[in-house]
Amino acid sequence: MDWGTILSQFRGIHTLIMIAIFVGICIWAFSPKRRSENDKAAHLVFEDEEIDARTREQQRGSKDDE
Amino acid sequence: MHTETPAETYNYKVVRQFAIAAVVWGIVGMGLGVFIAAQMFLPQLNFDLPWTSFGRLRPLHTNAVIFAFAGSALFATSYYVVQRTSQARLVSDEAAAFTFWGWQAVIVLVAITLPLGYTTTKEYAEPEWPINILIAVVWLTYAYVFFGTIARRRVKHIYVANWFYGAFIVTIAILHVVNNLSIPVSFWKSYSIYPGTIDAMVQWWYGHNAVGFFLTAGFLGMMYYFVPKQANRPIYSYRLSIVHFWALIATYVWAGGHHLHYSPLPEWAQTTSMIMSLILLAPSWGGMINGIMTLSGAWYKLRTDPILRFLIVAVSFYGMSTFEGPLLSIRTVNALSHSTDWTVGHVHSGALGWVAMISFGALYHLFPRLYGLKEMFSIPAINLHFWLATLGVVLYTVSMWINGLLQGLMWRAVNDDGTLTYSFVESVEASYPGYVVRFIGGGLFLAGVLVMAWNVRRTIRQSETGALDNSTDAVQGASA
Repeated sequence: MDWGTILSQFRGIHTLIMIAIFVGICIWAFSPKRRSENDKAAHLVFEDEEIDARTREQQRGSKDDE
Repeated sequence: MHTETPAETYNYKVVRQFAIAAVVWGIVGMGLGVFIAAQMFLPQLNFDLPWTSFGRLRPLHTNAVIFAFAGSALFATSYYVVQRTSQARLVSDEAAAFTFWGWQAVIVLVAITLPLGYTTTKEYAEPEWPINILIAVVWLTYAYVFFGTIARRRVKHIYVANWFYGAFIVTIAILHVVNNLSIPVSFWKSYSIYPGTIDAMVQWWYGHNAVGFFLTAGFLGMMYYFVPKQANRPIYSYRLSIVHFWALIATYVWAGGHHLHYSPLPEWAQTTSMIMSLILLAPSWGGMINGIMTLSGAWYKLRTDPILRFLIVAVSFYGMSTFEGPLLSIRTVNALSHSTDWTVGHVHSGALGWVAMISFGALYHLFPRLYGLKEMFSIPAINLHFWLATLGVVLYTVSMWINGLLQGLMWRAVNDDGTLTYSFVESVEASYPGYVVRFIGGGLFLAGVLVMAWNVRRTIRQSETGALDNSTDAVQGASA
């Protein structure tokens, strides 16, 4: 088989591989096992108030060198 | 700074710098836009000078709004979001400061060289090769700061906003380098290494992914942090956001060929890009639904919170322009719309409605937090800005739709004997009212940004003078 034939066959298979990967990602993301992990990740935006408050505190202390 | 230190703080200084830069460059870039919009019906404003002609100022406008305004907003928000969702300070304050000053240097160099006529002529990639090398250096430093910060995160998950910001940073690096490969013949002149049609395809692979990754993926990162944060509710569906991410980045890279319909580009490549553009509707709307439905059960917040209104209206405009985009990518529709003002209207419904509006929302959310205040100096001024911006976008896009259809139909009209019904100049004359309305819309939008700049200035001054009624000092833990 020459490279041209191999390449053209790969193009077809490549499409199938991409579809399979996409379906796999969907199944993985929506699997019930992921639920708690997803919930945890979704709440990340609310969980760093302490560091934010400390940063503001430090800023107030050093306002002069801004 | 070390990981796991109990005294971890964030680097807000670079975020403040980029946030202020975004406001300043927003005024400059949009001001230029309003000026060249006036040139369309008042050609005297070209002043018969090469430096102030439309042909040179237009790329300056696009570079200023995309890379200076939107770019600064992306730098500011990505540095803020990656720190807060990784619970870690930026990996290097020095490298972050270098990205700020390096990016500002790029902007200034572009603002000098483009009016002087130094250009690669590649749309949205006009700066010449020495500037491109500086951009690449700054961008790689940006990637180091961003991914270095993710690497030292103190939480297990990489929050979805960071996936979008990360994809934006990686893809723009690749696009920028590949599209700008060229052979310099002098300090300010170079030639692309790609020949003819291949050059066009590379250029629009770059150009459309500049839209897809600079103006979409990066701003989706913004959406995934600031909408939940401002609404005080987690994102509607985190698992949908995962599918949204992979589907969007896997599809966008194929769509560029739709800029080259009916060109010497092979027809199969045109058709592929058209199909991929149509498929793009699905992930785009998946993301839009995810953003808007975050407010499900809390719609009342839109009545009282103009910042949230900015964010949600931005996401709605995202939905509208990602519906219009696939429509325009259909070859037969493109036959009507190509080279008309419809394209300009489409770009601005995305650029003003989506990119700028979500940036305004994010900046209004950011400024008080960055300056240790509870809220912006004036909430009614945010509301005023919102209505100026919304009215401005509507006038802009509607006038350009009308102009686009008018031009497309006039150009293709033929008489019974096969001759053209209208001369080109007749279509220009017919476009004048639309140009005036577009100028008014753009002017309103710019006025809104000026209101924002005043509000930001007053907010910063409040922080400097320590206004107690707006300080987070006075009310312990009152931050939203």
